Amino acid sequence: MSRGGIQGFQSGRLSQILAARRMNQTQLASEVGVSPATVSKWRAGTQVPERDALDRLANVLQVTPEWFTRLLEPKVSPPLFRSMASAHVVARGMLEARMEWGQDIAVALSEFVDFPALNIPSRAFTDPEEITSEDIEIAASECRDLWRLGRVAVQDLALAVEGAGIILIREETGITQIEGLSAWSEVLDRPLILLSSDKDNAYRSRFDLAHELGHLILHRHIKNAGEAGRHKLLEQQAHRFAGAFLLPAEIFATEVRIPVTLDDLLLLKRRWGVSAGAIAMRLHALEIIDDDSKQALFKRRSARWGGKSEPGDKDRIPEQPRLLRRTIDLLVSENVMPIDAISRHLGLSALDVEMLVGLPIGYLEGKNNVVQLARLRTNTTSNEQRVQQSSTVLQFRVPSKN
Amino acid sequence: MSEPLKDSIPNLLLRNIPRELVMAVEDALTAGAQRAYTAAHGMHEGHLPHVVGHLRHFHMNESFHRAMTVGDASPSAIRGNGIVTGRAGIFTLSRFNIPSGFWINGRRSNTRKQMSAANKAIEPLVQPELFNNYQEPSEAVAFFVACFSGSLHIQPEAPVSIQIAVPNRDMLGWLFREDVGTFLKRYEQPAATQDDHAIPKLKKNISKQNKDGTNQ
Repeated sequence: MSRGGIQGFQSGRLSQILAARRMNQTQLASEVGVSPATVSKWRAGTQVPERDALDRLANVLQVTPEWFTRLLEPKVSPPLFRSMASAHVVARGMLEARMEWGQDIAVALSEFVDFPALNIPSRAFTDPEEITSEDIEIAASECRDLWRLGRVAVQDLALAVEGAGIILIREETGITQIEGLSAWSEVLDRPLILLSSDKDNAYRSRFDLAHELGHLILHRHIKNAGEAGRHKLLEQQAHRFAGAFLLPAEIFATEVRIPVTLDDLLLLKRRWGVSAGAIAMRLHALEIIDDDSKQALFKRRSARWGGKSEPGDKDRIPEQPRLLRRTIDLLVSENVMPIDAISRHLGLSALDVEMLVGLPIGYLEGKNNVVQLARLRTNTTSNEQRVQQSSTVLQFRVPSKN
Repeated sequence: MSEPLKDSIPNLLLRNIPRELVMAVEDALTAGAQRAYTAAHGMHEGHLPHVVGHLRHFHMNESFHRAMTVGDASPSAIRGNGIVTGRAGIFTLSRFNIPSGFWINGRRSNTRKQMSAANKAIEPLVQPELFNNYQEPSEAVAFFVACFSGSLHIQPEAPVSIQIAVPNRDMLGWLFREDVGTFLKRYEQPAATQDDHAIPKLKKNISKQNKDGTNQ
């Protein structure tokens, strides 16, 4: 180990941030001004950076130098990704690292606050083959009962999920192929869900969230979830759960008129907050429509609306997480920590914290605290015209000397 | 002045009659009407409306009886042309048919009129009495009413609507009347606003900073 190196440098932090920033060793080396071999040694833990190299490293990667000395929390359970394609290996690495940062933030904040108690149904399935459709429907009903949601359309799923003690992160990831991931955190003893906000579609985001909830409930104890055949089955089951949770059979089925038209689906979409495509899938899962009717609906859907978007996609504002944001607001309002100390305390850049926690960009640096004063609409008279208008000068009254 | 009553007739119905039983009755009355119309095929035009009306009574009585049996609502036996009654909680349940809008027809049966007398006990829910305090009764009556178009030219095979109706004591008025489809929605109990539990709680003994940066 070289002399003068920083004590307590955690090589794992370097690997984590490289994944989070989607950067490779060579890129980092050139930006920090060291050789790729040096970065490689830092990562392997055979050498640690010296003070000025660490400062440059921290500056390039936008964290505090001290952050590199923070012990790594135990990793979250292997997350379940929507796509296991080898093309997305870097993207998965990034999302996993971002989720670990979410865990770090939650752990740091939990020193000061208690999060809502975890309240989700527990299942002990170890093999996805043993999970039947009925099991999934029952789990979804049980979850609704636990959360006292009745059987009506869920108003705000993000609120319900966070109220049940799940840590939810929703941020722009730049990766459209993977809509979300979920994992269990041993150190927090609660799960985390990370949703990608890139598609900016409230309906899809709700369904993605319900899908991840399904993974957390049904697949917690399933090993080797990434195996090709197994992964597909897990995805199907999480989809079934999402449908069952968002569109409970008892009430939803009574609202469907057969034969179904796309316009019926649009009405149901507005009411239940689920896309017409997902509703068609649910109708098929409930055997209300057969294979041919489903295919006909999807064919017509493509013909009328194209492959990607549906009418009304922008009708709803995507649901936002609020638990971590509220925690930060609480710490600030209760004078536990000043606003500008938050990101320093967490060791990450203000931008990273704002994105992971769901705060407006610039909030932690006080940039958003500028109050915009309402301005009266100016009249059509321009300044020049006003100058030309004659005015009366009012004299200040000089106080009389008594 | 006495306090306004918190209970209501629809709430009483919801508490006593399971959703499943209401849906079963809805299905039974529709199926019974369909069977009656099919069974009347080939009869002489001159008395066809009468035949259909009679057959509706019998077929719908039968299917209503079956729904009550499956729903553990202890139905009375099918006998003669008497109406079948069932029991769910405090409610005695029965049925009759009317041409759409002609509600007075319900009074044509003495049995139904006698049954309705029990609803004196729940009248205060609609019109509070000055002296009598309301107490939840042990007995009340509700009818499932299948309304037909009144013409064999318009939808003769099925009711135009099926209603759940609670008569007053002499069956001259209705304390509550609602389409079964609308009534079923009441079971959904829509939460006016979703509960918000996503609230962090500050731990005890967390030191707070004063404005000058010192700890409290």
